[in-house]
Amino acid sequence: MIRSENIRIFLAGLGVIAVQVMLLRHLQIFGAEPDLILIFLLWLCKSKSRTTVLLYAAGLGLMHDALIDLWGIHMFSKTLMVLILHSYLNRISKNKFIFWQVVLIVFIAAIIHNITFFSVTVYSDLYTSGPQLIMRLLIGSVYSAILGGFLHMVKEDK
Amino acid sequence: MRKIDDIKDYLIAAIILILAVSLMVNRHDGSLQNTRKISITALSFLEQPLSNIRIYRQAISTNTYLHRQNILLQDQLSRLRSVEQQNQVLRSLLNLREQSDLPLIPVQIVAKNLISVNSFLTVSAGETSGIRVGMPVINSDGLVGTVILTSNNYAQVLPYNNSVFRVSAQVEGSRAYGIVSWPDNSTQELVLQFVPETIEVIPGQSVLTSGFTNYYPAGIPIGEVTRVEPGSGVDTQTIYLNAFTDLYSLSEAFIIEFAPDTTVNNLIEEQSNLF
Repeated sequence: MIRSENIRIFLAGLGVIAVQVMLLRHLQIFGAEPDLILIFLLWLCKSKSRTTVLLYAAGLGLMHDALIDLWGIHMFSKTLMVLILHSYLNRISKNKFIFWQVVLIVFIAAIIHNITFFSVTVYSDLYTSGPQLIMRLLIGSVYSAILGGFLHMVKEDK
Repeated sequence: MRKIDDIKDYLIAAIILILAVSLMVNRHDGSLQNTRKISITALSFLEQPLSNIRIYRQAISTNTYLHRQNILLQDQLSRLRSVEQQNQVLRSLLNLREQSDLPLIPVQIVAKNLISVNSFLTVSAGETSGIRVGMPVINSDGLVGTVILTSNNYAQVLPYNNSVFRVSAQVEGSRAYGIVSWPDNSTQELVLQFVPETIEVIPGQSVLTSGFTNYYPAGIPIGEVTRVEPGSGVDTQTIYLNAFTDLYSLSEAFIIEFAPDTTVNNLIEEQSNLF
């Protein structure tokens, strides 16, 4: 049962990566794209142990990196984000959330993730334009937060 | 127990982070190249279904861009054509000025009335520039008219398409002389009368000022013969010509500083007093 659930989550993760790479990567606003994998990991944090989510974060991050040739950057930032936020998210998982609370949680998580992500990219000389980087950090976080909020609403309606 | 789990998680996280950093650092190394090739192939496979949509979307934006470029280029082309036309006009004016022996005053047409019965042109130079009543007005194509009124800075010109306009003319290559006037039924058609029927005139010949009336210097082109009709009840022929100068597109001209010979004028006056 546990194994089949893990397979189900893993396949869902692969689907999330496919959607991210095939669709969301091209729906950019001012060069920023929403991060569906991050939202998926936050959703996992609600119900799964930290060890499990850390492994999913590393695995999905690595696959995402492999597909867009950013080796290790998403893996690093997503793992760190899960390590920082898992305890808090797991603790509040019993609560019922409304739209703007979900948006706020996803936004904070996305900010932490994106700050780590862009710090690492600056360190590895992938981005050279400072103002563009800050715009992408903020707009990407807002974009992910809104997407997370809408997905929450859709899930609640079901 | 929880502490052990925490330590385990931190250890796992540390290993993952170290692995991630080592991937970042070594991503350009040879050992990763084959994996990168595989991942790029996988990405291409994933991207393929959406590529047509993207190509279509890109084609729409490219189409919009090309439309915009097309409009801009059309605008630029029309401007260039206009400039080229102006350039040709100015070049021909300069050539005329270099070729002509007569002193010329360059003027611009500042007002134009060609559709009423009393048609006229106003030019941007007057008495202060040395313009006097009776001076001929020409451009690079030929005769335009004659100055009939002057003020300090402007002068009014009687163009050839006025019913009171007359000029003594001759057909080039022959000694056929006559009077050119405007028949009042066409914008650019003039008529040369009083040429004897014995003189052969064929379409295509040029008609120039004769210089016999002492008002215009000889040799100014007026127009080209288009058709010849025998006069009814007279032994002269009616010669129709197409004026060389297009008054409707005229914007620059020259006024010839031509003063009639006073001796000739005095003789003409004396002759008219005799009868």
